[in-house]
Amino acid sequence: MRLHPAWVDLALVLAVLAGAGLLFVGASTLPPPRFEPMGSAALPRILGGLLVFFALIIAIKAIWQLRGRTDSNVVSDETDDTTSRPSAANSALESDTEESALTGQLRGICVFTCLILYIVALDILQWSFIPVTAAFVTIVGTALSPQRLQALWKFALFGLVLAAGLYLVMTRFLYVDLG
Amino acid sequence: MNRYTHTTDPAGRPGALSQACRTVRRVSRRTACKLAVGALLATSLSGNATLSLADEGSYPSKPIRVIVPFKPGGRTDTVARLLGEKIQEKGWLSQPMVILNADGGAGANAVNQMRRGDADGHTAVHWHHQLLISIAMQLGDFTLDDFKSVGYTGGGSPVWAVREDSPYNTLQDLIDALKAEPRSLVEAVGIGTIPHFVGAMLANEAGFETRYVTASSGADRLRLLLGGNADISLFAASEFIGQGEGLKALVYFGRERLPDLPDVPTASELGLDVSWANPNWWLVPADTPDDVVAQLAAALEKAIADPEIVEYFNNNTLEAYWMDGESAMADAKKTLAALKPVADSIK
Amino acid sequence: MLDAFITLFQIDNLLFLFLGTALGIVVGAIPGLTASMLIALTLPLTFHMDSVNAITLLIGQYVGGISGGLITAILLRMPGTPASIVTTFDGYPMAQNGQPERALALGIMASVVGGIISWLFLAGMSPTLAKFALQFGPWEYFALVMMALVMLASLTQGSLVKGLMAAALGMAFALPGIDNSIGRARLTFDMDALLSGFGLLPVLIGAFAISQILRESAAPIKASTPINLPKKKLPVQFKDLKTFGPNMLRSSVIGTWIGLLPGIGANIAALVSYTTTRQLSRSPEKFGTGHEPGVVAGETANNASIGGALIPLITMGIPGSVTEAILIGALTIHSLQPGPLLFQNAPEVAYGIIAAYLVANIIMLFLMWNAVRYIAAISQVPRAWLLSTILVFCVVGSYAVNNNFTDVWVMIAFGVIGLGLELARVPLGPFVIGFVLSPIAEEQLRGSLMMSDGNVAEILARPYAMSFLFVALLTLLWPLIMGQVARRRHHTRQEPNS
Repeated sequence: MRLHPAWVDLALVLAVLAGAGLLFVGASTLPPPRFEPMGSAALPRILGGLLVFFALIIAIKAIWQLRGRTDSNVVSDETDDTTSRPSAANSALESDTEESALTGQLRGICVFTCLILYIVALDILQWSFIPVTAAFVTIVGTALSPQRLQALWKFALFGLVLAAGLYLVMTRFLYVDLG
Repeated sequence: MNRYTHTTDPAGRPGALSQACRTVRRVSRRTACKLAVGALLATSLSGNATLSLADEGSYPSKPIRVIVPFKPGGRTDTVARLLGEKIQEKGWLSQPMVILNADGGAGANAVNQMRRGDADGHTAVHWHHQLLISIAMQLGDFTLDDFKSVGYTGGGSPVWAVREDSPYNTLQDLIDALKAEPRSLVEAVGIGTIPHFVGAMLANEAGFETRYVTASSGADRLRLLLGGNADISLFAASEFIGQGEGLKALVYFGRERLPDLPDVPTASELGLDVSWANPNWWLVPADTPDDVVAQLAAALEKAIADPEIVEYFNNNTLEAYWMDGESAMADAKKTLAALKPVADSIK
Repeated sequence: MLDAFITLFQIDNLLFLFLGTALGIVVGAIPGLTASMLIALTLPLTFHMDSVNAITLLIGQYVGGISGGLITAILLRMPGTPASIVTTFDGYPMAQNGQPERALALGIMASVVGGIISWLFLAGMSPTLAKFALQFGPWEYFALVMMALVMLASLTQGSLVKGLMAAALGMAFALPGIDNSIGRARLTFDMDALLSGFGLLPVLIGAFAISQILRESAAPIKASTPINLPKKKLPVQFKDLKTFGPNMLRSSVIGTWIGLLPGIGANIAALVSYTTTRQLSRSPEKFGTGHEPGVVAGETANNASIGGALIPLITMGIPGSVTEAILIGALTIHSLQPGPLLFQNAPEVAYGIIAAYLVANIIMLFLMWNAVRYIAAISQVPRAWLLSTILVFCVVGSYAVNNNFTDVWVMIAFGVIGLGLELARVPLGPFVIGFVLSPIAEEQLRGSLMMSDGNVAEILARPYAMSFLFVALLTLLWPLIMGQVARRRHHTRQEPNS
């Protein structure tokens, strides 16, 4: 069910190559050096070149791994990163709750969508800060709680207090204009 | 963050909060909810109330947002805050002025903030001639047509300084040296900022050329000059005086000598037609009605004449004067025309 | 000086200092809110205060803010301030290994020691050090930052290629915006929103906090465990002070010294001292897995850099960081022009700053030491409460920097990027540090070239710059040298060398 890391690497390679392409395109429109010999375009080009170089190395490694996969299922040399991949994967294995990884991912997507909607409401719709924030905290808090119904009103109250408190301090004392 | 500014407001820490919630629940679940909802309603209602007042045309009907395109603490920010407070203290406008700092993007961020607000006099910008430079360099999608000028509330001019142990004692010494040996001296400037433009205007007028080293702030210029990594730089007169030792001013860019620096000649005295006065310029969106602008201008004009404000200006080598909106715009257009050739020359 | 302390111990000043430090710690600890933001936002409040009160409040916030960052860096792997990025490398693994209190206590101890040692420099040798720092021009800055960049490469764990790529990616993201060396837009693709580039704060919170929150919210929900505070004694003893003595001394010197250089700042100080400590260590491979000296090195240096940065501020009126630029603003509002004349015109303020810095460190120790157990309990607060609150703070905080929603969207975008990078096992540390360092390196190099009319050889006449490049080279070759040494030792001596 889990993707082979080499595929993830290949996706990374594609994204990085696209980014490097952007760098080259952007650099091509820059004026020639004016005050010093380097100019604005030098660093984007250097970085673009480096990114392509690194991406190719990773791509070659990944393809090599995918080919060799038929021989053994062991994920080869890159099982190193214990520190930068904390709890998420490990605790999924340890956890004795019955929920599947899929529900977890759904919840993650739900939180992310809420976050986007929250900012859309504040920025584009320019809705009032307090109710929007309270609603946001309520939804996210509830989604992350084990016992949903009990959590709902707790988070509604908490969200309201948090939003009102922040609003008061920000606008009254600190002159930040919220929404 | 700053919910903690006031110790009576415990809103932030999750721990404290849940504690508070628990306590509240114990007292009365219902009342707490009602109170909270009531508070919420009251807030949104009062917002609506002020809005409806605005329709009746009594200006100002809500706090005036003054956008400052810099981080807090600089001159533009400080002057805006001082004038705003003075106006509120004396009641020259019925609502307070709220300063909003929108730094970044050569002012584009501030202009976007201004466009978010209504053009009804409750949105204003306090800027200086960096605005003209942004326009001359075509940074950001704004021109002077996007603004209506309220007026200048005073301003100040900079000096050109060298290190105290520098062999050049007058501007003429310096120009002679640079003419004898072009590009032999290093000038600390931020490319495309006021120091760069003022220096370039002087260089064009007198016919010399310097090398540059990038310095993104006044502090950077000071550091490079004092440390011997640059030979010349531009400073606000107050920065120069505050430094006290280590620097020597060669020329002042104001139209007349500064009382605090009686020995520093102006450029025009030296036969060079270059002057630079950086005003505190108040602007509103172009569509703002004239009667509203007039009321704002009247309040600002009173504020800049206030003795306390005048004293602050004097202490900081700024001139306190009032120039009305139209004259200010005319002056700015003239300056912009002078900046354009310099901007073209560094494109 | 003594007078300054006496003034400081007036009840109102002490109160403001206390308030400022406490506020700073809390704000520093909250991902999304930083010390410089706090100071910027409280600046207007100081208008009506007495100038000494105002300064003590702001200094307290400054010290507290840098120190508070370690809390969330250790417990949640979300650095509260940029200066605490390296603290996540070892602090978070320590906390995960069941030693959150030990990690916190070490971090606090290191912070205080760093603060006090740099205070000694501040109080004792300000004028000398300031003169020394002034000699540093663009070449030296460039060489110093290059050194830090090379050290960065040696920091990466796991795949070296991915580490380097992370750094290059971070550098690429720092490119858009107005190019200071020509004063025009670069790589903005005609979008006004990109003119000011990606802000450090949104990028940092996005890459660390938002991505971490999203990952955590996707993890299965555990029934909340009751919070039980251990009653045992604090897990740091006097002997730790001795064990880490050399480390702390070295890190303090590095921190103070890098802090001295305006515009370089606490982030780089922490990074350089962390790498140096790692390079000199007998067991460099342990760094990044919850190794105690790693926490100590970073936290000592970032606090020490404040003392260093105050030196050019009070002797010459040159601010070392954004935070200090705002401090200068606070002085000018009170009609005090910072600079050498400050000691004559307003000695109570000039010495007040020095005295307040020391006392703020002590207050910070007092506050955090007593609270450490409760702070450690944060990691046991149910996730629903913690994550929803932090999300709101991240949004409000990144908006409040410049009153700008673009920053909020940038934060979200970098949250997604951070998540993607982690998924592909590309480390975030080099990514963010590359992002911080490369604009300085580029601007300084191009500034140097402007100054020298394009003559690269001029760097040869700059002894400090050359020595940084030498250290950079040494860093690159160090693993080889150590390998050789170890092999030779192995040959000549039979018994293992402890």
